[in-house]
Amino acid sequence: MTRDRSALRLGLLGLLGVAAALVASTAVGSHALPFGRALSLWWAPSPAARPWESAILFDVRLPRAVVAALGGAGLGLSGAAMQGLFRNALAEPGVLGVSSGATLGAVLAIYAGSAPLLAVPGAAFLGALASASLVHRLAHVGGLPSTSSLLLAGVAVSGVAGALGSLVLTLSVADWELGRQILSWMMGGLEGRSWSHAALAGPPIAVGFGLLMLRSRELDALALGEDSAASLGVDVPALRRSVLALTALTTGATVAVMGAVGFLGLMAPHAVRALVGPSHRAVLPGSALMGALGMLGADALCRSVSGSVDLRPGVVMALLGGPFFLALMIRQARARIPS
Amino acid sequence: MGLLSGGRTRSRAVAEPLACVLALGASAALGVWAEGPRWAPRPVIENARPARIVSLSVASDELALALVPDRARILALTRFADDPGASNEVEAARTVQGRVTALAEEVLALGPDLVLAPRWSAPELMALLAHEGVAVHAIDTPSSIDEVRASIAGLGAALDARPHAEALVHAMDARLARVAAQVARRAGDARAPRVVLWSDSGVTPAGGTLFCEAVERAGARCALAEQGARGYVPLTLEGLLALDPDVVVEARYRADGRARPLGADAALAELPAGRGLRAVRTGRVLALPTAHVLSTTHHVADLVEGLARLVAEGPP
Repeated sequence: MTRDRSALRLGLLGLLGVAAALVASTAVGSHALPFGRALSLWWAPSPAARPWESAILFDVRLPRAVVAALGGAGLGLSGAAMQGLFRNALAEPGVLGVSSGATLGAVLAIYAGSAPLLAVPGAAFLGALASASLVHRLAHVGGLPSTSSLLLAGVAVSGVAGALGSLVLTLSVADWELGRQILSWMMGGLEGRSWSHAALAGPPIAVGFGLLMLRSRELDALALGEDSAASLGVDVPALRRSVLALTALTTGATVAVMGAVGFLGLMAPHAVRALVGPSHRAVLPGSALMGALGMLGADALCRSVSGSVDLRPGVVMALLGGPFFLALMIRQARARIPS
Repeated sequence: MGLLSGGRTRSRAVAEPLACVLALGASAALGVWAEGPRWAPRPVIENARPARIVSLSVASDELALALVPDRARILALTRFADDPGASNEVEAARTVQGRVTALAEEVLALGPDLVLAPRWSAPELMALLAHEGVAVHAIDTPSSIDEVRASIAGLGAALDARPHAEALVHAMDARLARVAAQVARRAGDARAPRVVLWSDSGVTPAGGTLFCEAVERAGARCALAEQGARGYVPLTLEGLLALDPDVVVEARYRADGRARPLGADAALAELPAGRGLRAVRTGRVLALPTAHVLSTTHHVADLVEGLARLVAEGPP
């Protein structure tokens, strides 16, 4: 009970933190609208505020920050669910090729000439689902998947999906404008994201979150091993299918609005477990909040240097997440060596 | 006691996929509903004589500078306006202070009454500008001299600078006519040199592009167009060897302002395979300013003149 209360308190604190970070991140950007001035417009919208100031704050930065928060939450959630499903601390949508699959699906939809706001999320979802299922099947060849078989399957699927995406890009260069659109989309980013992007990502991430929360106790049981979980009444194959589909849904929605961003889904659950323990009832929402905070921070950093360099959130995450991933691998390897 | 009863498991097997499909449907419906100007748009205010012009492409930089002598009307050009490898109006660009990237908040902060944007601009940026009521003149990438003329005329109308636009087209046509007179004796000559643009990007212009029209106006033949290729097509070194054109124009633009001088000693000539090319053996790997090669404005006349001069020189 005490633990639940403390998790609840932390959750509320996290929500407040995300709200505060969201407001603060809208105050970061070009020098045209300085930090202090932007914050003052939030608290007391001045009649003297020039129209472009309100436009930048509420029509450019706010929807962008909301999309960043939603995308980060989706990635954190997917990472936590995948780590629970695979019982592996190194699992996350980027490492396991799910993001690459979503990217390939979306790129194919754009190449086929689909309306970006209609078909891309669905195509990204199908790509993510296909990748997740394939990695899962490959990793299970020969029995229970080891870390190395899981990672190798992820690397292989990610590599093939990436290569196919490049092939589509190569085919599209004859139509220069289409090629440019695909390339820009593959690079990811949040520039120009509007309320329509937020509306696009919101429902799949919300539904994914809700349904994964309903699976949290089963994920806890799975941590004891598949046999133990089955003995507790968990339909392990059904759980596996469900979690793969739901992580594909949230990852696909995220990739559809901001491109592939790696490692956030890896880092957020680790940070949350250190705070609230291993229970998925706390880890799943906590990872979503942590992911949202991480993405808001990365995007604010990118905007603070915009003009001098076109820094994208995916680059920031990779620079932070790469060393984090290596550190985890080293820690796991050391843990296997008997003292 | 298990975590789930059999009934709940079965109902989940139906409910979860259904919820996923509904979520995707809601996502598409909401995304379309909230798209672009539907969320509290402001009316677009079009100024018959725009006085706060922002340009978002090199082509519109060049045209705005050529069509608007009153520089106070131009708020900002692109950062490439100062890059001699990209822009043909570097000197003129110094008369305008502002520089801008295609970032929504940078553009909005300037409070423009007309944004000159290429048609290939990010759709998100265009939607935001439309939502904020900013007038945008979209500039198509021309694929012929006729389209360059139309682009200049269209921009002249948008900028309330029709006489300047007509004069600009007239001056371009006069230069093209001079080149046409010089190369008239080679018109339709099957011995006219076959030309290819070799680019680091691996993609090169073929039939139906501005470059190939420039080649033909310069009294040469577009080798890829003669092969039936149209638009921008991939061209590998192997493909180039198979084409074995008489003249290769190299374009090696570096988008960091460090445009390098090009010459016959460029990368192509240094490649062992490249030495098998007739153009390399005869020293006809030509260097033209990249700003001329990339131009989609009246400066295409510079490209035609440069090509005509180099083609006329013939093999050493």
